[in-house]
Amino acid sequence: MAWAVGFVSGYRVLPNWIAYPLGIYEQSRNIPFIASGFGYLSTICMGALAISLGFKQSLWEDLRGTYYFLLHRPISRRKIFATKIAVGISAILAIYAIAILVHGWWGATPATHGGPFEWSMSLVAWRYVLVFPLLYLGAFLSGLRPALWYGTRFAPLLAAILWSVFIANVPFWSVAVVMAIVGYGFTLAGIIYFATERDF
Amino acid sequence: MLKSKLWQRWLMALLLALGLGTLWGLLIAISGSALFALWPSDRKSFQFIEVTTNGQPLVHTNIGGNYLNKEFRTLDGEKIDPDEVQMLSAAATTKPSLSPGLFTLPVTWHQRLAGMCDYARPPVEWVMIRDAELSGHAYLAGFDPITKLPVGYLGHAGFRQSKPPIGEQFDLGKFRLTNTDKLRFAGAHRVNFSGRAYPDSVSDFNEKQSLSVGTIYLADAHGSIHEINLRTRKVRTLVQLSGVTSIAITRMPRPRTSAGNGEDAGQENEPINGTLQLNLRATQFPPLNGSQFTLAQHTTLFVPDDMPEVKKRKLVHRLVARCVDRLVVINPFEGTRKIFPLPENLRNTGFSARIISEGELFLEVERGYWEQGKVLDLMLLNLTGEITSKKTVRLSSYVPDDPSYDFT
Repeated sequence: MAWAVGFVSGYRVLPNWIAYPLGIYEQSRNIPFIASGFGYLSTICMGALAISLGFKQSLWEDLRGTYYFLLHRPISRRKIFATKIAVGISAILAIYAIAILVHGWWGATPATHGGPFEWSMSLVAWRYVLVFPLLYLGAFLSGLRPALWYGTRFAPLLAAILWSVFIANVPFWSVAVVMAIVGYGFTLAGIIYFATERDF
Repeated sequence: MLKSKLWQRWLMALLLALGLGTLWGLLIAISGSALFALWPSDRKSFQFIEVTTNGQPLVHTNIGGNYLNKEFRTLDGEKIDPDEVQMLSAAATTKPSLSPGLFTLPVTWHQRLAGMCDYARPPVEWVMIRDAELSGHAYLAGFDPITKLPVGYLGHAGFRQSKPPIGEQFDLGKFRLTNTDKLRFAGAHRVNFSGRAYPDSVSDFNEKQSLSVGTIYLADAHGSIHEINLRTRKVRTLVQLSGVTSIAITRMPRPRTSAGNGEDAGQENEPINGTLQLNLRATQFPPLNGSQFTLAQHTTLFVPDDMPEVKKRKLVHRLVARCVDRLVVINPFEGTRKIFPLPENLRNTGFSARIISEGELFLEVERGYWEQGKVLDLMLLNLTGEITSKKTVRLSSYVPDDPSYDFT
C-alpha cells in the first residue's frame, strides 16, 4: 500500500519534488498517456512492485522458514498458493487501475495540461494490465523454484520480462491477449508444479 | 527428487531456455554497446554532399563525430574554405509508397498527434489530431499555454470555435502523423509527432526549411497543398497536384532576369527570417514549466508579427512538391511554378533535390548500405526531364585522417 500511495501521490500531487528529479518531464505540459511521463514511470514503478511482490510472496516464506507453518494448515497447497497469487495480482491491478484513473481524471479536467485528451488515450496504459501479472508470476516462480542463484533461478523471471516486452509492443490487442494467456499458462503451470511437488 | 511428467519437464525446459536466452541476449547487447563506446572516436567520421549556391558539389566530412570538426573538398579532392561559400539546402523527397501487404496495422494514438506552435506573443500551441480510421482525417486544435484552455480549431475551411466537421478536416488518407510520413509537412519550425511543440523551442527555427514564422504546408491525400498560417489562423489551398508523395521547403539562388544583366527578377516579396534568427540567437529561453512561466516572459520571448522584408536577399525560398513522375517547384509568394519531369528510373526512388537555378535541379540518389559507405549518384536535371550530367561518388562511413574519394 505504501508503494501505491507513493506512486499515486508522487506522480500527481508532488510532481515538483519527485517527478522532476527523476527526469520525468513537466506533466502539466504534456498529453496525458501519450506524451507524458506516465508510461515511463508506471512501467518502472509497477514493474518493480510486481516483481518485488512476487518474490516477497514466495521467497520470503522460504527465507524465514514460515512455509512449514503455512503449508501445514488444513487446506490444500493449491488453495494456499492460489490465494497468494490472487491477492498479489489483485493488489497490483488495483493500484495500477487507480493510477490510470487518477491520471485520466486529471487529463479530462479542463485547464490542467493544455492539450487534447480522450479516454481512448488510456488504452496505451491499459495494455500493461496484461504485463504486470506476468512479471509477478515470473518473479513468484523464480522465488518458489529451487535452483542456484547464480544458475537458473532467475530464468523464469527473465523469460517473463522478455515475453512482457512482446506483449506490450505487439500492435494488435487480440494477439497481446493470446500471448499473455500463453505466458500466464506457462508460469502458472510451473508454480503449480513446484507448489505441489516441492518438499518444503 | 521432484516427481515430474514429461510435459512438465518440457514446459520448464522451454521457460528456462527463454530466460537464459534473454540473459545471453542482454549480455551480448551490453558488451556490444561497450565495445562500440570503446571504438576510437576518430573513426566515427562520416561524409555527405553539399552544394554551393553556384552549383558546385562539395564533400562535407565530419571528423570524430564532432560537428564542428569538419572540412569541405571538391569532388577532385581540393580543400575549400567553408567561410567562402554558401550552401544550398536540400529538399528530401520520398518515393511513392507501396500498397498494403497482407494486413494493415491499426492507427495508434502515437500516430495521431502532431504538435506545432505559432510563436506569436502570447503563443498558441497547435496540435493536429487525426482520427483512428485507416483512411483518416485530421484537424488542428489550438491551446493557450497559459490558461491551458482551447482557443479554437482549424480545418481546411479555416478557423472555427468548435471541432470542424469531417468535411472540413484535412483528408490525410492512409498517411499517419509519424516521422515516416513527416515529408507530408513542410515549413514548420518543428513538427513534434505524438506530442506538442513548445514555445521555448523557438530556437529550433530553421530559415532553410521555413518560409515564415508560424506557417506550415500540408499535402493531403488528394494532392492539395494547404498553406496553414497558425498566426492569422487562415488556411488556403496553395496548389492542387496529382500524385504528391512529399513536399519540402528549400532555398535557391535569387533568380535573375532573362536578359542576364544581373537585375533581380520580381520582388521576391517574402518575409525575412534572418533578422528573426539573430533575435533568437540573442535570447535565452527559460523553461516553461508551470510556475516559472509568466506572461511577461511571453511578451519578451516572441518575435513581432511585423517582421521587415528584405528585397535584396541572395537566396529565396521555394516549395518543392515531389509527385510520382515529376518535381514541381512552387513560388508560394507569386503562385508561379516550374515542372521538372522525372526520368523513368527515378520515379520509384527517393532522392534529395537542390535548386541550382530556375531551369536546373541537382539531384542526389543514395544507393548501397551505410555500413559499407554511401554510393551517391549526383545528377543535373533540366526542365525537359533530361539528365544533363551524372557522376557517381562513393563516400566512406569510415574516414581516415586524409580523406580520399573514389569517383567513377
